[in-house]
Amino acid sequence: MAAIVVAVGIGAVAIAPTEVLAILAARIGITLPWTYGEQQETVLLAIRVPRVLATALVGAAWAAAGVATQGLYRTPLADPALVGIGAGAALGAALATGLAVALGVVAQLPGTLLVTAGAFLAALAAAAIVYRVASASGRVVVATMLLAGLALSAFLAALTALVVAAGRVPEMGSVAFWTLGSFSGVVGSDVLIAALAVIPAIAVLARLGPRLDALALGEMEAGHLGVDVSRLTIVISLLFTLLTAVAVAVAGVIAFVALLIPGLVRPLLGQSHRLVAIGSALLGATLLVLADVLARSLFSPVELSIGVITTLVGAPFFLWLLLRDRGLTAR
Amino acid sequence: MTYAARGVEVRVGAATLLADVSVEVAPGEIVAVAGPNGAGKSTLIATLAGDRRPDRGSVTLAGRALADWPRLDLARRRAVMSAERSVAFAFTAEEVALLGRLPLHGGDPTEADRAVVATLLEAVDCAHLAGRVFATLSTGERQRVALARAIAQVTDAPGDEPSGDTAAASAERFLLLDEPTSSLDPAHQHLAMRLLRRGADAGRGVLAVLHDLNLAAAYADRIVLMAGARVIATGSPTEVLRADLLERVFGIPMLVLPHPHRRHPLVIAEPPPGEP
Repeated sequence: MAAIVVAVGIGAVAIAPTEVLAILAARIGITLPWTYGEQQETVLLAIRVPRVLATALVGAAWAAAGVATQGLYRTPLADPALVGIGAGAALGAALATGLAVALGVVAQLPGTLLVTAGAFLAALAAAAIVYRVASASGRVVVATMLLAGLALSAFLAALTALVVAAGRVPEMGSVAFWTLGSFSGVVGSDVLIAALAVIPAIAVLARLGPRLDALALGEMEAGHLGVDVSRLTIVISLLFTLLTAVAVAVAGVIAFVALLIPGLVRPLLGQSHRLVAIGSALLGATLLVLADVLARSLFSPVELSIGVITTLVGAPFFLWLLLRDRGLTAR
Repeated sequence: MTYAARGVEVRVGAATLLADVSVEVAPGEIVAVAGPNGAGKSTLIATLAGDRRPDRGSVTLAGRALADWPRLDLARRRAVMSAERSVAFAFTAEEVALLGRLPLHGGDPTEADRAVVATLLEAVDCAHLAGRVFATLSTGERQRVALARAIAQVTDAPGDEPSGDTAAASAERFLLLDEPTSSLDPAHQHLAMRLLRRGADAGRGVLAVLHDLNLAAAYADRIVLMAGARVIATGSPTEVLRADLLERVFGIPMLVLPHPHRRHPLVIAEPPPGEP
């Protein structure tokens, strides 16, 4: 919350935290003893608040998608943005944006819904391809999944670049937007759709937490404990695909958030997937809001792609995880 | 009310893993399954557990086909300790054992669940390892924690009243164990087997694959001897542990002696003749 109050104030038009509180309080009929300008009020309500709320929701979505993917594939190395699901969502979202522009509904509620649906369907297809390639007799081989995801991500990103170039529609976004992410184009309908999808999805994930804990023992063992593993696999796959699709539809592919956040939360809260899901959603929201502040203030007025920041932190963490796990298996 | 496989046949491709196998375990008894590698013992456990569907024959629990049992009801009636011993993420030994209670609490372990697990970790001599990360334990320690988890699944919590809705909790429950003692030192082997004996005396039906024939002789009420996907003999330790039978099944000379101060046989495998 504090991060949000500070974050909405930072930007080309500076708004002090006290002014933020005064503006927001005034909206609900409370007068606080701090004064603010009209320009600050307009910027805050029309641009900053939607952007920061969208950032928080997307951060929570990526982090929860990471918990779901890692829990299902029983490895801390999974990230939907790294295994092609994010790139699939980006391709679907770019195509659907083109369609939304043609229908004249872009940046409105039906358009946002269309883009999210496009992202979801394409992400589902990408997830199915990765699963198909990486699973041998029903078991997913993590190394194969990462390699297959690498190739699929590159292929789908190239396709997205092709679609964006061929579309010649500015609303379809740039290649940099889809592959590195940005919150500069957030509109109100983004926040609404994201909230309606992300919050229930995280609630379902938290509810399924104990079953993911059982899955850590192995699929057979989870079955012996009464868990319907086939159903759990389908539900969790739909969850991380939905979360990824929503996140990508709003702000493109932001890599390593899904990998990094659960990895930071587990040492603090333990391994319980229920706690890790809730903790990751909160930490993901907070850290992405802060990362976005950095992205837009570091070289202001030029905005950095937010994926630049998350990758600078997340990629070394991924390498560290690989090093650590290599030590574990060698023992 | 027993846990029974009748005339079970399991094939994979051209290979027959189980051929006309019938095995039964009743509440209160320990049934040991013994036999050489590849005899079909683990396949039998997997078939009894419901992981493998038999191509022929049936597996029933309390007279009802396994497939007709609702998943959760089945999990409350029988626990399985498989040979798999890897756990993803840094779950502690206590958390792993507590997962055995999942079918009973459905997601939020109660104080009673924790008490059951604490008692069992004590019983398998792992209380001091409760807070350790499971993946960092030794093979034998992991095996003991896995045993505690399996037993926790079919144990009454203190204060559980076996009546009304919880009638299922008082119903006969079963433990299927694939080599529960294979990595344990002799002291812990006996610790584990005594724990299973107490479970059987409290009404559990226990079926365990055991390679150690003397352990089977000391604790099992009945031994099922398997070889080449078939059951060769079933009976009390004295009936099954006969030198001629064992030599035929294992292919090496076997010395079977009366135990000097216990009422079961003592089995000694001898080196094959003509070799140093």
